[in-house]
Amino acid sequence: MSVRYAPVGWNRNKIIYDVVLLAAVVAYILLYIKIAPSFQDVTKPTTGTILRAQAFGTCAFLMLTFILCIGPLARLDTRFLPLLYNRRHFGVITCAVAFTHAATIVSIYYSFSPLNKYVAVLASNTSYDRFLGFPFEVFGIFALFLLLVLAATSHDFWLKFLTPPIWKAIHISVYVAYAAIVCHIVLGSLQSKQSPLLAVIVGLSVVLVAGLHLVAGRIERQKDRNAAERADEAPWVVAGTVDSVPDGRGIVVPLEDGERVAVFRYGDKLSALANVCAHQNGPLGEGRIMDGCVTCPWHGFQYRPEDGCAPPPFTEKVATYRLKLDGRRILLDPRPNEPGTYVEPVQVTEA
Amino acid sequence: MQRRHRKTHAYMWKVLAIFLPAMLIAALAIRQHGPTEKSAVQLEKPAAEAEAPAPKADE
Amino acid sequence: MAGRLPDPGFFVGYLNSVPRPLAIFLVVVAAALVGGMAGLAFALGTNANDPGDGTFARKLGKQEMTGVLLENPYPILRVRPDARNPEARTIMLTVPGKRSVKRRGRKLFGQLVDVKGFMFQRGDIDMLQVQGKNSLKAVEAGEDEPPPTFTPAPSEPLGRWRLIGEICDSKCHLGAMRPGDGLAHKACANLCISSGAPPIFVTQEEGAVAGETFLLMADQDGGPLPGNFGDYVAVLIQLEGEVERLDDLLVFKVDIDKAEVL
Repeated sequence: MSVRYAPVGWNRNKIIYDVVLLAAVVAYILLYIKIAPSFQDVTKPTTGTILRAQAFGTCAFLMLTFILCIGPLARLDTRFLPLLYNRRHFGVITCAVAFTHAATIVSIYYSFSPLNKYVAVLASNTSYDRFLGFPFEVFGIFALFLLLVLAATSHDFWLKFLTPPIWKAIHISVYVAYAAIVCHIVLGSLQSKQSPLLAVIVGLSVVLVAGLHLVAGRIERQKDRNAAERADEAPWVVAGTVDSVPDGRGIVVPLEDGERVAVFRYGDKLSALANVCAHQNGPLGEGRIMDGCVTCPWHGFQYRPEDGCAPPPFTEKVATYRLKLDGRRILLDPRPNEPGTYVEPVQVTEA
Repeated sequence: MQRRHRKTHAYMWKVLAIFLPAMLIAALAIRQHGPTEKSAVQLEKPAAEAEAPAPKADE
Repeated sequence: MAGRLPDPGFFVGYLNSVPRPLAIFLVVVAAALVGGMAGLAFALGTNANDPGDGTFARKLGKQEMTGVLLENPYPILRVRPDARNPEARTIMLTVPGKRSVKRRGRKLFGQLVDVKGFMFQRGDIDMLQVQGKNSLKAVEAGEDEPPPTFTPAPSEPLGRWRLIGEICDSKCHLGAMRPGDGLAHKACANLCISSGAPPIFVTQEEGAVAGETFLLMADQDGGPLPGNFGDYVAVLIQLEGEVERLDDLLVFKVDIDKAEVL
């Protein structure tokens, strides 16, 4: 996170993350093209360029499968949050691997003819009227286009420039890219394979990604159904009890309209903020108090609990909510204040 | 502030959870397999061979 | 935003220290990622179809042949037997890249020519890639000698056949790349065929027709296949037509519109 737009705000964790990632990619490619051919049961080996294209293509698919598992895994087990922290680097590297696959394919399948190779990519297979033999290349081209857009807009500069709602809408298209890649594989390479291994791997990947999303989604829906009950006096709702909020931590209160509010305790004070981080919608209520600020568990963005403002020089703001105590019960006014509005913290007296 | 795109996300995943496996199953279903009958059948012999009389047993 | 260490178990990316239990968990995940990718690479990499033995036989050196250059159904050479090539054979011709030899040979069709180039070979079929200076020229008569002639053997009809197999582009299938067949290769095959590589029919069963697996395709009149038949390339089809033999090359004369995708 940065006030000035440096290309990457490097730190030790990002470096370790990228090193592990690159190690995985290098291991994959080298094993695929250098070691595995010696163990193939073939009359003559696959042409080197085709082997490279296969290596980079399958690697990109597996990487994107893993990327899409990170989100729901982090919801199910917070130990996976560090994987989410630098996920954008993972995405950019995946795009580079996918691009290498595409460039290699174009260099062998579509080159050396009188036709321009980029025209040939679209013109060589026009069997759009049938499933068997459908130009699976167009799914690959479409997926690559999406990945390139996502990689190009992955920096926080674009998040600010496009505004978070538009940026997020663009980046949700990663799911469309994944679906396109699955179509690309099952209508292309999978049709020629004699062994069921590729089908099994694609099937398991799809089940894993979809399954994790559905499970995480179910848990989130369950939380939404347990909306805070109304207090005797409107519009207040019962957020919880003082004892349910540990010092330095927060609780998440679901409201009837689907919104969620984070109630934090810091020392003998309680404050309430929107649960949604202004950066990338991380769950603030699952964060901690650090340096007197609510710290988002996703990327470490911080907000002062009493007014929802990021400490200077940062400018992000989230909505605040009014709280009051009824005995040991914490009551919450579900009407949000404008982002950045100061609300006097509620003083907690020990029981 | 409502978590943006939560509904879009949920809808998208319900669709993909059906579409992705369906696509895989359909693609496997259309895969071509070897022929169940002989892959080369001579329908007609060449004209010259068809016209030539069959050789006698002692020739 | 540097500051104190976070609570145990809370990860903040821009702080160097990571809580120990979390660090151990992440080491395990990292090892699983690298190990998992390595394992998958080996599994997928070893799991290749056999792409066959198509070869660009550069090691055999440049081949020289003399024969009659014919245009139909696709540029072929009816080789005249001589000391270099003792047996009568018919060989498909190509040039480097995805191009046809038609342009180079347009004034030479029907004539006796000397051809030089490198071979593509696969099983019982081969192809000569005409390349190099003076690699395709009419045979010149010596001084005071009559012009050389050669009359290739007539084609031998083998009857009408119903075959199951795949249309491939001869160049890739014979060794320009491996694999040179299958749906993943379809667009390349279409591009090669439309750019001039002769289409061949590869029977599903080996040696299905008179002991041969590969047949040069032609239309019913013996000319090139008409129009755009890309829909039928690289998929298993059933096709009927007359088969004839030109020396060691089989030709499959078909009505491509009657092809049936299986």
